[in-house]
Amino acid sequence: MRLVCALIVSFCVLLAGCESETLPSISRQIETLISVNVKDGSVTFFDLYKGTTVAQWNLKQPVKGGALFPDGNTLLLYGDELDRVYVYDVVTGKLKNEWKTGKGIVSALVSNDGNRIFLADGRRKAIRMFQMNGKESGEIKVGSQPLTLLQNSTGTRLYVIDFYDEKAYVIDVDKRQVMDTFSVPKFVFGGLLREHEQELWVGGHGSGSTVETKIHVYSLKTGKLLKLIDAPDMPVNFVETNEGVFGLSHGSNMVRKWSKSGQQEASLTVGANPFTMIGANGRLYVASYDSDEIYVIDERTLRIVARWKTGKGPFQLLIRGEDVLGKENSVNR
Amino acid sequence: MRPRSMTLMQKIWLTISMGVIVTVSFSYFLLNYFYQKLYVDKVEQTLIEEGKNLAGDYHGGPITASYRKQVEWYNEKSTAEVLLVNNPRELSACLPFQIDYDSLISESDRAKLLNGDIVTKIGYEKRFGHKIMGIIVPLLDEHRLEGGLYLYIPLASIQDMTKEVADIWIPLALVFVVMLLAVGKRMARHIAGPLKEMEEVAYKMSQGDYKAQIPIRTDDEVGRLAKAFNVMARSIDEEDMRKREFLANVSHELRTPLSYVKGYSEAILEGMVKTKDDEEKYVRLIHREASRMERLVRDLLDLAQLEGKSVPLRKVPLVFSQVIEDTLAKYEPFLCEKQLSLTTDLNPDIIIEGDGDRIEQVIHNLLDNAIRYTPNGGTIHVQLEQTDPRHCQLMIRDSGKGIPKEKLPFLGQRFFRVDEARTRKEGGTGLGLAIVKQIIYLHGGTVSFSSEEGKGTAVFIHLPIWTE
Repeated sequence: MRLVCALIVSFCVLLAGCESETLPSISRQIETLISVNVKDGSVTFFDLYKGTTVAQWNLKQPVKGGALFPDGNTLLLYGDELDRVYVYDVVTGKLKNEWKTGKGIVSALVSNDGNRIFLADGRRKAIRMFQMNGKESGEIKVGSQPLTLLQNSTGTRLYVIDFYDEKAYVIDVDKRQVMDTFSVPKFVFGGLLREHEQELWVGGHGSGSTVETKIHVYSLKTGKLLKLIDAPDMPVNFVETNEGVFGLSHGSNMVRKWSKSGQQEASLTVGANPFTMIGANGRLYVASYDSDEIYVIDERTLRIVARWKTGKGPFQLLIRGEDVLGKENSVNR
Repeated sequence: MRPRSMTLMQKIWLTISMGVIVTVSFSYFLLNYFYQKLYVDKVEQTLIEEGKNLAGDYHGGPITASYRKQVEWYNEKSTAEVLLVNNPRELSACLPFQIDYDSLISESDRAKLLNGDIVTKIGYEKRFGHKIMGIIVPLLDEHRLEGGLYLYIPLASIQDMTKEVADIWIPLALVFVVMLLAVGKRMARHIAGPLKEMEEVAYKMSQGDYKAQIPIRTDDEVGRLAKAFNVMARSIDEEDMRKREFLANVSHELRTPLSYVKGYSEAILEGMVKTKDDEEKYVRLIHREASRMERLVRDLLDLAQLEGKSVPLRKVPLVFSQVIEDTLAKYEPFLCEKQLSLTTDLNPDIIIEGDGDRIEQVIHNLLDNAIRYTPNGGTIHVQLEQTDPRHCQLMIRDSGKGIPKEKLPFLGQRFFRVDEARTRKEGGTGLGLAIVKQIIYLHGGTVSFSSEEGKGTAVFIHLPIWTE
């Protein structure tokens, strides 16, 4: 009898051991700000309203970014040094799936039609399309470092801006082919697609010791450079909300606000070397890379509302909730 | 072919040279090391101090033009290069992106600066194209790395300083080394020289030249070896002389009886002897000489045996007085014949450990001599007494004609005779005392003589007393 008991106990232990590690879960009801932190390979979940830390996932993996599926509960995490992407269920905290993509995934974007996900592969120099179940459905060759992915509201056009090759690609998603290309400066990074204005705003770091101080605005129709907007130094992230257009310059730690017509209205020095921001519910959330903080800013007044401590090196922000503005424009790496 | 091995001199010189070179180079590197270390440390301290002072004037916010001017002004005045770095690119602000740009401040440096730490750099800096010693002081506005003060001096200027030292040091060291090497060579020659001379002398000796001597120059081990070598050479020389003398003596001793034997036997054979009486007389003479030769050969053999220790002594405890009395008894007829009076004073309690036959031979030989050299009607006195708890003394004194003082030291040498002609006539072999001396020596004792010319001679034998 005792032997049977012992056997059952050891079997249970064995089963528990076999099961994949479960991370802290996040309730379905809470609207969440998700911060992917690259220095310590962690993901921090904040309650969007209360500002409290809901959970901290210490993955200790070289993750560089993530993408949230339309269901709001599935989080995909990638890193160019990882040979696969991880698909987690946020609600249960369990690893749902692993897609063996091979190393080199530098960016990910969920299609606005909710049917597919684009993974930018720096090794294959291609945009790879996956169905939500992980099945690869296509590959389009682009430049060597397709860091910036943007899409139109319907998800039929994909704009890929290369980091090295001074080139932007316009992809017809359904046809799975490059429709058009146009030239951009070197080391451009981050962009904003303004369909209504037919403009593509492109940021960047600058080349060599020259620091990029301008936003390049291109015509969506012709691919021609329309104008340059001052935004020193190194504008790398953009969000457009009902309040206006916001640009984040990491070199000068500055958020700028433009009107819809492109007039600069206000600016704010914020954080230490911030790389990314996201907007929701009238707020801007800015990730301060060097100080490991999230700055919460009122979009209208451009005043700092709160500061939240996050994991080390916050590099990408995602929002799970109803009203997510700027989500579609958030740049994925 | 086997390589020629080095001589001792070469080895000593090589050892000295190696020692000198290793010491000099080691001290050079040590000097360099300490000089650099102390100097570099000092430079680092100065730079850090300057950097901190400059950073003290920064009060947060973006870097202002006036602050930049201030730093530039300081840069002009200071011996160190001072850079105000506030370009985010140079500060590695774009760090998570793989930008093909070699920032002035690396990723790890940035992390340290963000912590408020001062970064120290020593070594080749690609951006400056040479080796530098530098420090970076962060200009922090809360967590914001607004810039950094990069203070450096090219390491070349430090090396210039060490080069100056080297310029003086190296020629001096070279002169020193050359001097030491020359002195080393002399020293090696000085040490190994006598050995070479010894080698030559040894070869000469092997050719039979025992007169060669090594000049002694020092009192060290080599000098002492040379001295010992000289003593050995002298001993061999003396031994060689003794050997030749001995052979000459033996042949001389044998030649006399042989010529007698030959002469008388020839006379008989050639019929020169007329009467029966003469013939008998001649034969008797021949017999006497043959006996003498026999004695001579026996004594020689005895001596050889004693000296060569080929026949070991059979030592047993003996009552010494008993042995003496027994021997004396055998001499009574001879004493009577020469009308000699014998007096004895023997301590009967003395026991010695010895070979009975050999001890008897000693007394025999000594009495032979005493009787031989004491004229008719003389006296012989034999005395045995204990001189100390461990030793006894046997004295045999005669009233003979004595021995000249200058000849006393030669007594006991083989074939030494005080009076050549007479002894031979008396029938001695010249080996008796030599045999006595050797036997007593083998018993752990000594023999000494005292004599006064015209009054007599005394022989003293000292022997250890047997103890249980």
